[in-house]
Parts: sequence; structure tokens; C-alpha cells
Amino acid sequence: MTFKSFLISGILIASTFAVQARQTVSITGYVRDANTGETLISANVALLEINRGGATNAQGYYGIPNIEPGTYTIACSYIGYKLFTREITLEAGENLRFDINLEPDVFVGEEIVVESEAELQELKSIGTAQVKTELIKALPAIFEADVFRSIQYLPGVKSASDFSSGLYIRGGSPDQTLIMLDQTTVYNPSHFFGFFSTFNPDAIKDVRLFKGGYPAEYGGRLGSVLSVYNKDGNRNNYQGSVTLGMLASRVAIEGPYKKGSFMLAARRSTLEPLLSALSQSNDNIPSLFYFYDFNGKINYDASLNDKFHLAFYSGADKVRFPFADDAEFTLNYGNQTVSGNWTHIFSDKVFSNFVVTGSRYFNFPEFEFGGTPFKRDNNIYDFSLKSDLEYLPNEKHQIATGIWAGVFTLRLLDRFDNQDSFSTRIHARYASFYVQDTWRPTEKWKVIGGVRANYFSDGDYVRLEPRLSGEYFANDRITMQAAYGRYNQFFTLITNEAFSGFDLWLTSDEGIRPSYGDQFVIGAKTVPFKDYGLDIELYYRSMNDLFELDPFLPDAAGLLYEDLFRIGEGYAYGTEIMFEKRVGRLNGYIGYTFGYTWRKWPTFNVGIGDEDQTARFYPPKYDRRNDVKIILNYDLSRKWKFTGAWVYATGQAYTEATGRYAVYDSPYNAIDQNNVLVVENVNASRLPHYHRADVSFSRLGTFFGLGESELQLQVINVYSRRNVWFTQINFDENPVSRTDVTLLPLIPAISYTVKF
Amino acid sequence: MKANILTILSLLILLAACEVYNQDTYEEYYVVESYLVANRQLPQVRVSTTAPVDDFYAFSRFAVTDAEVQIRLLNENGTDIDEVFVYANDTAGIFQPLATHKVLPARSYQLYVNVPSSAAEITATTIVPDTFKVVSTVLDTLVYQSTEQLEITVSESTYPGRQNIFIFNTLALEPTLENLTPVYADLFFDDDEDMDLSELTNTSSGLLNAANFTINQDQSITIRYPWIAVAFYGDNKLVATTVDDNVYDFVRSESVQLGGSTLSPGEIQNAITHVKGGLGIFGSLASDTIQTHIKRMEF
Repeated sequence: MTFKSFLISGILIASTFAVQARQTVSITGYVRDANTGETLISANVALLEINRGGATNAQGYYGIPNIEPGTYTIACSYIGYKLFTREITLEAGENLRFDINLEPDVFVGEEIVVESEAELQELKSIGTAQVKTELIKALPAIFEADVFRSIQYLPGVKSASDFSSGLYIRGGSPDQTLIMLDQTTVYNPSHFFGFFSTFNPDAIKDVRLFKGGYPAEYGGRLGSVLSVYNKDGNRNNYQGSVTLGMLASRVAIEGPYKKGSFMLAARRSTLEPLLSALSQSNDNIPSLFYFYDFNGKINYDASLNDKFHLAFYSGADKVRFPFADDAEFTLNYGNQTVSGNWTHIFSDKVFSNFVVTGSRYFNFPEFEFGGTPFKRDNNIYDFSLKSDLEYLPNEKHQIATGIWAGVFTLRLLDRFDNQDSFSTRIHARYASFYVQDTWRPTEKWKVIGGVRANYFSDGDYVRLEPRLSGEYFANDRITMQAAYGRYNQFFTLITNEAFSGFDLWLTSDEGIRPSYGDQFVIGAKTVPFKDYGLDIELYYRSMNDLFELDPFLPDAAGLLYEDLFRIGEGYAYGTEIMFEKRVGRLNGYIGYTFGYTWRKWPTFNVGIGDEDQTARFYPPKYDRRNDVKIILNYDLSRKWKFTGAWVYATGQAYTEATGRYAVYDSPYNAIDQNNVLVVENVNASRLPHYHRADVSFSRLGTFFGLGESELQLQVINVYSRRNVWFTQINFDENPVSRTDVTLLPLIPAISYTVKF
Repeated sequence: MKANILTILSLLILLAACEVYNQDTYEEYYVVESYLVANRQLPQVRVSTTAPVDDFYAFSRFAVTDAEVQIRLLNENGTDIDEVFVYANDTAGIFQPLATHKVLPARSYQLYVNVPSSAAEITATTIVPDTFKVVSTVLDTLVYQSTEQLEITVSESTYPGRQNIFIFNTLALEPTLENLTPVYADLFFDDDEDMDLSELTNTSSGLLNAANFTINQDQSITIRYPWIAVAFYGDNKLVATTVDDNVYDFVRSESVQLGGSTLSPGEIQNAITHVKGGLGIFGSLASDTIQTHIKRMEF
């Protein structure tokens, strides 16, 4: 083809689009909460007569292109809001900007009418889940409402223990989930050394979890993506809230200004009086302990088509613990993020979003024992630029493309006895590009195909990731789904399941290839009865070239970077079933997960006497075969509300030692008899089953006529089940004794919130 | 479609059913233990068996007496046997060499154990670390936690294929309650489980890579001795030790069996032993010792 013929072909194609554009019209706009002006993510918009529609994107924007001129009924629905319907007339050549304000559904028991097949589809995309802020606040929580602990109630998501808010999703470890706040990566989203997450529920608008098989738009992790969005702030009225809790108290304020809105939220622990009282009678109490976080967002609506926002987060945990004379432990760790966002609507068919992000994670533990100090300076800086474009050429295609490029810097310096003992600096550049087409060939089918290309400078790795998913809308009640994806991960997290305060991230490099894996998911979303949902998903995922710090490594000084790691593999599979009552006075769900996950590391779990040292697969501790979660919300009256949660899980895997011996003569040992355990199969035994029930009662009221109030009374572990975390073997007794280290007992909690 | 889902579900359950991973029952293994020290006489060798984890354990109950034990000096290449040193049972499970032999540094030795009653054959090989000496002048007396910290310089030594790995031990020669340094005294008196004072008389640094320390132009290494190692005032012996691969692997893997690494609590891995046909350790090391006196701080 000559350049001339190429040009002519291009002009002809462009003319065709131009002709189409003249003949059809489109509707675009934002969907917002009518009271607060908050944009709503994944709200469903449809033209009922022609059964065409779509869902709002992460910015709350929707677009329906290529509509014949005429009169239609536009409908918009979102769970928790009244159904919106309006008759509109579209004139030829008109591209209608139609922003929708949805009224919150304040009446108990009112039901949302599902009229369009397009509705709820986006919310129910394969592998995705949404956790409403209201549910996060309503769920019984250990001391403090928490995003991660709410997510742990979803099928397919497991926790390591009551003490950890870490997310173990579909057989993956916590580092296999990309966690983003306003599109900014957060590296250690925990307070209280992992007890709960950094995300303040007062500041959050939306929590979206892609458990697996996620689309090309996202990347960088083998397993899942958790995207948390801060509130924009009320665009209509000033409002705020103050919450007093047992562990922490919170304050939040939001409101409009001439060209937009703002939101500020702060939270700080309030443990000082308790610590002070305890220290009167107990030596082993920290002399200082607190955490805090601030969230803020300011929006600037420059024009109808241009919106800007600046969001930030800053949080830290500080502890000082003098545990003996002349011995003290201090820790200061936290995260800071900032993101600047520009949303620009180029036309009724092209929507764009540009984000500049900055993320810092710092971790400064210090330990002084008998005049010998140990100090670590661990800093991560991640600066990136993201750009996403959505193009709606016609009613059958929705094309999305984007880039994400950034610089990741890790500085780690260990000092022992005032001398540098280990230091490393990783300065890696990364970039990714994706293109994705959502194709609706017929009303019954939706196919999303895409590819993502990744580049990571340390090791010069380029990786391609095909993604494909399909949905078949069999009828009004059944949608069949399937997805496949290839995923790569360039990072690994060095952490301890019991304590996240020392978390350290390392990267792939020369000799350490990035981990990769494939995910296969099939599922069905059904509506067995009106207002009920029954969803089932089956998944299989592989994990290859997993790299993590060699747990037997006593000292990293002087070692090659590649010698720090063990390289392994794994796989996981299972099924998740969720039966849900979505609306009504009594609502909630029952989730069941049947899952297996396996890992294999060279020289680990090798049969005794196996001269070939063949490693065998074994289940990690968080492998839980059966897992049941029941969440119930019941509006007892207009003022009283009950929320209950019950969780059952197969006991965690652990290693039951079968034999023992001792060594006596080692010249280097500080003890005379050093006992050694003998293991046949690692993690082949199971702790007792885990189960726990939590309840929460909340009462709405007024605070001396100044504003609304909410009193929450909660009991965690109502029947005080002493679930076992692990079993400790004690060699001080002969024969050995075993001590069960148990999880949380019954814990009552109370909080009081005033909204003004 | 419903049938398809049921089929896939059935396959999944079938797949899961195939992945049986049960806990094995106890099996008995032979256990050996011996440590060669460069330039010292051949050590004793312990031979025993493992015990069921819930049995009362005493070495004598599981000692093996009817074993044929040898330590073999291998040639420079570590391939053929140069010399065989035969051992004889002394007390239950403890075997002593019948001949004298000073362990040669930087040479390979093999432990050979044969138990005729069970036809078991156990072997293990070690490469003895090269010797080194403390070459610096060590102060006779140091004041605890003064700015003048103990520094020792050890001569160059090598180990094939990797940097040297050290263990430092502080052996208290006057371990009395009055001599406990403040932090150890606090730990001792706070301990609920009646800690024995003897547990503090030998403090160990654990495994430390040579890269932690200052390497001088002549390849000697200068080590600043941390105060954390001093549990008692008074005379203390400081023992610097370099270890072979067998000791390194055994110590680093055994020490995390009950926690302390990134492994999940309750996940126990076997110690790395490098013993064929059994368990335990046949390791080697080189060491040098100095002595100093630690004085109390004066206020």
C-alpha cells in the first residue's frame, strides 16, 4: 500500500465515523450522590427502551454513544440509592451532557427495581467485589472500624490471624495484592504493626477489590488489586463528624467552596491514659505508643470538562518500649502519599484521566541492648505518572488505553554498634502500557480483551500480559463469566505474619527474575429470587519464579543480591460461593470458599534421606480448605440496627514434629543441650477449626439537638472461642510440652459518633 | 450451562481429593555429632537415634553403642581417603579415637558410621576452615560501656567458595550475681521461669559474615566487640570462631525451628544436616581465644 492509498483509506474511514456521528447522538455525564455531590463509581445507567447502557468509571463518568435520535427513558441505579428515571428527548446531532444526582434510599425496606440487563453487570464483573463504606462502619470491628478487616469477610479472602489485617486472597500472600489509595501505591497500609489498616473509614468513598482475573488496566501484582478512593467532599453542604472510640478517635470535615469541594479527616490513637494506668502495675508497658493519620482531598472543577483534585495521606505509628534496664526498643513507621489528578473530557467519546502520584514508606526501628545500638533506616520512594484514555467509538466497543511509568527507590541502611552493617539502594524505573477493548458483539455477549506490557529497569525485564474475559448474559437471571490473564510481579515483601512494623520491599534484579503466573476464572452470577444473588466462581492460578527472602538467612552482609532469596513456585485453586440478600430490612450474605494453595521452595520440605533433595509442595499456614462467612444486617427499628458476623474456617496448617534429638558438644553454642525437631511433612497437620461470632448494635439519635449521633456497642467473639494461632513446643520440660497460643478472647467495644 | 458448572465443580473436588497430604508417623533415624577444630586433636563422636517427640529424652536412652565409627582424612582434592582414624565406644553412644591426630586446616574429612545390627551406613564430609590468629594487642582491662571498645584484629583466613563466617562467644570466668551487667541482671531477675545463671555464662553472637567487619589492607579483619556480648563483669574469655558449611547450614536452619524468621509461626522445617543416611552434624571450625577484664562503670 502506497502512502497515498493509505491516506485515502484513512480519510474514508474517518468520513465513515463522521457520517455515523452526524446520524447518531450520545449521552454522557457524571453520576453523583444528590446530597453530597460525591461521584459514584460503577453506578449503572441505561436507556430502557433500547436496553443500552453502561456503568460509571472510577471518576463517576458514563457514556452511551451512537443512539438514534428519539425519546427514551434514562434510568440510573446504585445500591443504597433510589432508582432514577427520567424521560429525555435526543435531537439529531445532539450530544447530551446529562449529569445524574441519585437520592440516597433512606426508607427502610425500599427495594431497587432492576429493569435493565446493563444494570449491576459492572458491579458483578468476574472476580470483583465492592465493600460499601456503610458496611465497613457497621461491621463489628476489633476496637476500630477497618477496611481490611471488612474485606476479610469476603469469600476468597482470608486473614492470617485475629492480629493481622493482611489480605490473603485466593491463595496469594499479602504482597500479591496491589493496594492503591486514589491510584497511588501504598506499601505498608497498616497501623498497630498490622492489627488494622491505615484507611480511615471516614475519609473513604469506595473500596473496590479485584480478587483475580483482573483486566489489563491494572498490573504489577500476581494476584489481586485493591483500589481505595478517598471522598471528594460534600459539594453542597458543610458537614463533619467526631467519633470517640476505645482505641482511636476520629474527626472529619468536608464541604463545598466556590469551585469545588474539600475533605479532611484525621484519626489518632487515644491509648495514652490506658498505658499510663497499666504502667503503674506492670513493667512491660511501652512508655510511648500512638498512631495517627490524616487524609485530605481538594477538588477544583475548572470547567464542565476539566476537573482537578489533589489528595494526600500521611500516617505513622510510633512506639518506645524500654523492656529492661539499659534496653529499649523504638519504632517509627508509616506512609505518605500524594496524588494530583486531572480529568478531561475531550469529547462525548473520549474521556481521559491523568494522575501524578508520590508514595513514601518509611520504617525506622531502633534497638539498644546493653550499650549496643542497632538502627535501621528503610525508605521507599515511588513517584509515577499515569494516564488513561477511554474511547467510545460505537455501541459495540469501548477502548481503554493507558500508561503508567515511575521511579521506585529503596534505601536501606542497617547500623550495628554505630557502624554500617548492611546497606543497599535500589533505584528502578518501571513503565507499563495497556490497551483493552470491551466488545459487545450482541446483547448477550461482552468480551474484554487486552494486553499489558511491562518494563522494569533492574534486570531490563520486559513482560507481556494478555488478558481476556467474557460474559454471556443467558437471561435476566443468569450471567456466565470466564477470564484468563497473565500477571507479573517485580516486588516481594519481607514481613512477619505477626508483626508488620519491620516490613521491607525488595525487587527483582539481574539473576532474580520477576514472578509470573496465570489465572483462570469461570463463574456464574445468578438472581435466583428477586433481590437475592447467588454467585459462584472457580479459579485456578499458578505462581512461578516466586522470590522471597531466604528464611534461613542469618546475615546478609557481603552476599550477592541474588543470594538473599529463595526461588519457588506455587499454585492455588478453589471455588467461592456467595448467596446474598442485597436489599431490605434484613440483608447480608453467606459466603463459602473451598480452596487449596501450595508452595514449593528448593531444599525446603525435603524428605529425610532424599539424596536428590527434591522439594515437595506443602500448604502455607494460611491455606484454609473450607471457609464460611455470614454477615447479617437487620434494621431493628428506625433507630436501632444490628449487624452480626460469623466466621468459620478449617484450622490453619502447621507442622507437627514427629521426632527429636539433641546436640551437645558444639564449641560455639551458648547452651549445653541444643534440641532439634524432626519433621516428616511440613504443615501437614491442622490446628482446631476456627470460628468466631461478632455482633454490633448501633443506635441513631441526636446530640443535644446539634446534630445526628450514633452509638455503637460491639462484642467481638461473643462466645469467647479461644481459637488457636499456633502451638509452641517447650523444650524446658521433658517430655516436651505444647502450649497453644490463642487468639482474641471476648472483647467489648463502644464508640460514639456525632455528625454535624 | 448448569451441567457444565457441575462438571467443573466435580473435577475440582476430584483434583482436591487427589492432593492428599497427610502427616507421616514417626520414623527413627540415626544421629551423629562431632566437630573438628583446626590444629586440635580429633574430637569425640556421638552416635544415637532420634526419639519420638513426645517421649522422655535423654541421650543415654537413645545412644547407639554397636556402631563402627571412623573419621577419614581425605586427600587434597577431597576425593580419596588418605588416612583412616578408627574410633571405639567409650561410654554409651560416645566414641573416642584410638589414635592421636591433629586436625589439619583447609583439608577435608569424612565421618563414616556403620551400624551392623541394622546395616545402616552414615557418612558426612567437612572442609576444615583455615586457621587464624588474633594479631592485635588486646587491652588487659576495659571499662564497661566506655567509649574505648574492645577491638580485635584477626589474621587473614579463607574458606572455599565464600566469605568467612564467624561466631563470637564470650565466656564469663567470674559468673556471679554481683557481676551481672545491668541489662542481663534485669533480664535475670525479671525472668519468671527461674533462669539459671549458667545460661548467661556463654553468650553467642550467632552467625556473622566477615563482610560486617573492617577488612584491612593485609586482609586481616578488625572486629569491634559489642557491649551486648558482655553479661558479666570480671574476667572474660572471647572466642572467635570460623565455621564450615555444615555448621553454618545446621545453625541457621535449626535456630529458626521455633520461630524468629519470616516463616509463619508453627511452620517448622528440618535442620539442614548434610549427613547421608542419618541426621545430626559433622562440622568443623577454627578458633582463637583471648582474655580481658571488664570493669564496672564508675560514676
